[in-house]
Amino acid sequence: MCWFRSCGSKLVVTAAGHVSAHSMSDSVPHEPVNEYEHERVPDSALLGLKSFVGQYAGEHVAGTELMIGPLFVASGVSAFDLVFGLLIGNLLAVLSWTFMTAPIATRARFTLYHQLEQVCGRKLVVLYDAANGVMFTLLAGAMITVSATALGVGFKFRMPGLNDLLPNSVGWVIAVLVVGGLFTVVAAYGYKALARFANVAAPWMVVMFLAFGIVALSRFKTSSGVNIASVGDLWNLAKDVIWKGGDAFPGRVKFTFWHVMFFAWFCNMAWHIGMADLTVLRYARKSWYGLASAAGMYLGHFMAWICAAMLYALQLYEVNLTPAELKALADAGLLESFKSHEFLLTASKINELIQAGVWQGPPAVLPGPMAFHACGMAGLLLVVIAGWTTANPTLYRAGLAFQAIAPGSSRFRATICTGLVASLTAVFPLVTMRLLDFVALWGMILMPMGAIIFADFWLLRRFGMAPYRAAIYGLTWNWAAAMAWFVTVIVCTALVLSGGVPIFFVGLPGWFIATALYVGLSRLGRRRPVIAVKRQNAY
Amino acid sequence: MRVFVQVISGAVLIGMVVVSALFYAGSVSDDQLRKWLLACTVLWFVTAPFWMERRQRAQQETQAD
Repeated sequence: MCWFRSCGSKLVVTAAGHVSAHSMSDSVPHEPVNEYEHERVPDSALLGLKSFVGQYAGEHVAGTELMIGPLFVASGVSAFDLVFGLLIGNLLAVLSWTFMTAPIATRARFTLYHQLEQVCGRKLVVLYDAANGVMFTLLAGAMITVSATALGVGFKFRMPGLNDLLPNSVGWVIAVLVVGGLFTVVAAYGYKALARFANVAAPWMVVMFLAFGIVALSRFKTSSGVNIASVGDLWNLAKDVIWKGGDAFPGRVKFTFWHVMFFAWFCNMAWHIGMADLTVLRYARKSWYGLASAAGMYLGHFMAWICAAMLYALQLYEVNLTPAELKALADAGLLESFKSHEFLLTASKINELIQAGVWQGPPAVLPGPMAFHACGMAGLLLVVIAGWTTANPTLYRAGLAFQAIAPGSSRFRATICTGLVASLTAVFPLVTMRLLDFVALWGMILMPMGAIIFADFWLLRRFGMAPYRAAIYGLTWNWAAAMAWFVTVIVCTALVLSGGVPIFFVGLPGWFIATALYVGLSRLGRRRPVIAVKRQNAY
Repeated sequence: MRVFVQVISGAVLIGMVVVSALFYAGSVSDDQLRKWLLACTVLWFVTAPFWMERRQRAQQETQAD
């Protein structure tokens, strides 16, 4: 997932929550940094392709990858569905950045917030800020949860299971609150220092994920006794041992090729189709620099997800039962079947274990123990650093979003309050264990605003209307945009809740609904501009 | 000096991949793998800030000019 960590490039998330073309690492001698928040980015500040490759590669190898890959396995994905679903879904995501976000970004060269304000009006942007702030807070909570699992390796407290909604031990609660408190204090006091550290950590994290994959593959090879002499052998191991497919684990939705593809495409929907990356790509010299997102997609959302998935599959394959569990297994007459190594990789076998009373639920996805098992202390450091460097800017951004709603409040207090709320949510493993659904929900909620920007920029003129309607009509609340947003979210929610459409799929019809609604409602609500229509951008 | 540190950082990252590959080939034990990965991690975080932060500073100064 993309969670705002720059990567040694010139693009950096800045103190105003926007992306600047300058480094924040040495901000003192050159502050204040001009972020062009309310003006077009001038030609002199435009950046080359390399900056965007670094930015995207760093952003998309984050703590969340440690959860997402394993959750695919829990969803019963097969090797073919995973590999080809990710290849095509990520390609669609790259194309979305290149052909939807970048063309508007490089023509208008405004931040998302400025663009939204011009289209939707100030008050609607505040609502957008609030929605974004809540999502950022929950995500920061998920990152705290990921990092807290690293403490479980040393302190041996009981950690949440895959389908747990509530905390299940005092040790877990204490660990989460300690980690969350630490993350919060650092985000409030030392955001910039940790942002610099995140830049340094990014290349190491990419290599660590690769190491996870190689080590896990090696262990699979040893445990299964399969000899890998060719690509065909490797593929056979992947489809017969690592990702066998079959039913999803109890309590999870079965993932097919389509689920994987749409998830890979839409997991960053808020950023590409939702247009949040207008803020990043407005610095691009050419619109095709959107292709730089491929660095993030194929390093983070392909390589890192697959490597993290292998760690969980390995945990399932090499599972060690306690003596009490083995006795229960023997009592249920399942011990021989368990020893065959065919046992624990399928949902039906896990169901048998649960029914026999050996397990309470499917094996938990716990990045700390998984990473430690594979790579020792270095793996554990990855879990902590990936979670921390991702939570840091996420907390900071959530604080900024809430601060924007109450402009009189201090950024420090907003970050502290946000961090405390995030820490409390992290105690409950609901969001983390349901991260795939949460990410899809985030995209579904914010995507309509991207569709509105798209329609305003490209379509309104074609229908005889002027773009930037809030600016032109002097609106602080553009009803056409508000209704398009709300109705789309309501329809999408209804499709998910009552129509049986998986949440991963509704983004696509939702985009067309939002676009059509905005154009239609804008045409109905046409009136005389209060200011002269002028060309505010270069298109 | 800077180039020297950069070379070490690069070698450390390559080293991490090589050690993992050697583990795959069976030439390195589990214990050795863990020690090498940890050593490489420490070396990376000791060396990389020198040149990575300097590079950012240089970029900023270029833009300020």
